[in-house]
Amino acid sequence: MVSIARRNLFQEKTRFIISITGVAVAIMLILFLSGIFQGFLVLYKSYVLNSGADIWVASDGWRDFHSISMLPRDIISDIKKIDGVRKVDYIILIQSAAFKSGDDEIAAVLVGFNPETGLGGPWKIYKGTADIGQGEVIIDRYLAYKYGLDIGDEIEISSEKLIIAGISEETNLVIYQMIFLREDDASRILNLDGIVTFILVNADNPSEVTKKINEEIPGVAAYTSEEYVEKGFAFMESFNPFLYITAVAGSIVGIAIIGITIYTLTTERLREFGVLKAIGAENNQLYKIVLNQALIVAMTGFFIGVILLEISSAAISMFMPELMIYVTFETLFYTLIASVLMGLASSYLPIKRIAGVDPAIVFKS
Amino acid sequence: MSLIDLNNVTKIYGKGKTAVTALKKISLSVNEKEIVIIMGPSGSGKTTLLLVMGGLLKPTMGTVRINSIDITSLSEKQLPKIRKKYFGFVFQSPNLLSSLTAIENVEIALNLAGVNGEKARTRAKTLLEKLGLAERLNHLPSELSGGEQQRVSIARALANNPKIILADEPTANLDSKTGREVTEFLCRIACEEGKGVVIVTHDERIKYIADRILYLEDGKIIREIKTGKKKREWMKHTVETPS
Repeated sequence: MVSIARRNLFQEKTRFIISITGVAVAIMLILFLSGIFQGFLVLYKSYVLNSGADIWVASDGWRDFHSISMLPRDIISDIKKIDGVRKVDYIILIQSAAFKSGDDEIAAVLVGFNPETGLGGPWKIYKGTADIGQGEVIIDRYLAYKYGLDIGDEIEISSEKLIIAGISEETNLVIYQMIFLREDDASRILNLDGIVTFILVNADNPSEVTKKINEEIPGVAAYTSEEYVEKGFAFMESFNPFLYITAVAGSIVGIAIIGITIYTLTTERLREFGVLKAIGAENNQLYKIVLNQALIVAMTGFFIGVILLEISSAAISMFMPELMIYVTFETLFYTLIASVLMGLASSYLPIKRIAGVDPAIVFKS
Repeated sequence: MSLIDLNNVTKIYGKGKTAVTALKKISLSVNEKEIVIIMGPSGSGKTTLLLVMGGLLKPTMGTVRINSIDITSLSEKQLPKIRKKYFGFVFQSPNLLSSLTAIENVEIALNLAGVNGEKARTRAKTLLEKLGLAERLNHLPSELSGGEQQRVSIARALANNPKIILADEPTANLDSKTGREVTEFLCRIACEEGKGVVIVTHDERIKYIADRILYLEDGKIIREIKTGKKKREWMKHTVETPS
């Protein structure tokens, strides 16, 4: 069948381009915000999932990644006695530790770890070494870039000078970046004698060992890495309403743009629809034309929106490398569905208008 | 053989004090190869009669039968199928779809009737060539003259091989020469293919192509003239392809 929908749309190229651009920008914004959110999650979770530990042990009552966990270091020997445990070590993780670089006062996530076991340490070294000695640190690459720091430079934590021996990658938690130092340095500098924040465990059967730790050692809460990620980042769900509102607002904008385009196109051509009715077109055939028009705008807008997202992501990674935009296939799929729904919803009024067209109008000059 | 029969058709617009009777107990038939011209002053009910005949307007009373089907009893859903199958419409303005080319404007009528692809294209092309538009197939309506546009609309009306062509003032927007040529072409092709033609017009100059002329006034047929002899004479002459 001759595609009236496509022809009608393409006849007014300027309007078509404006509509597509509007829908594409709406789609891009939805994906962009979702991508930032997902990027946050990926960055946060990647530390835990790349820590090398199968089990994370926190103090009882620990709620999420932003809450404090404190455990006596001696507990390690108790955990080592549990069947199935292969390796145990601890970290000292402080969410917002301050350090100095020249005149700059910088906040970072500070992690004290044991370079011998590597548990909880940096998993990707961009420059230098992960095997640091006393008085040495590894800093995140973005932090190094932002403050012009490099291997051999000096930073200061609680008046103690430390030398940068390594620069790590994928240790950027967007708001804060990570700094790694030896656990004994961390313990001394932060005055945490005998106190650790998390104990990391390697086990043959993590689920079973986790259960045993919880049963046999009082005052602790053990989680498999997956459970820890789920619980630790549950606070991110508080952003969901914001995301939903953005998605709904973006969809409304999309519906409005497609709706105005298709409604105008329909209204301008009511007489032509009347002609089609007069020569025998059934309402369903006319509705199909309108739906096709709306879906062409929605789908083209979606694909251009994805391209715009790719371009803007590339630009953002150049100018704001601390941001990670991560769009999952699932998000893309749901946005595609949302685009189709936008098209369908925006066809409602034009279809109603066509339904009411009297074919006899074409007999009026 | 009678193609369409109107029996005591009355059409009243509005209700109560504001009611206007547009057609009063009209009965008429149109036969195969017959050309009927309906004339009358403005407001006499000519267009209303055409709309009722074409199933585009339901009469208040009376019946309209096409091929023995009473179309007045059909639902709004059934009527488009009847229109596609039995009627071809030519309007005062060509009313072509502005975004489609000449050939596509004809094809679309075929598509709506379920004829698609090469078959539709060939039929559309043949009709347009018959109407002297072989060189204008891929032109948009805006690139065609008024006469050419009207010829495309005639091709569209003939596309589905309907039984009856209903034409409402087909020459009104054309100069007299083009108008005459266009009407002659419509009637010649229609008659050759055994169709009935009903033309509503003010144009006295095309009366010679009619078998019958009906004069309408205040919704009633006040006079009927049989003019078949003139038509037969005209049909003997070869009509050149309009330029």
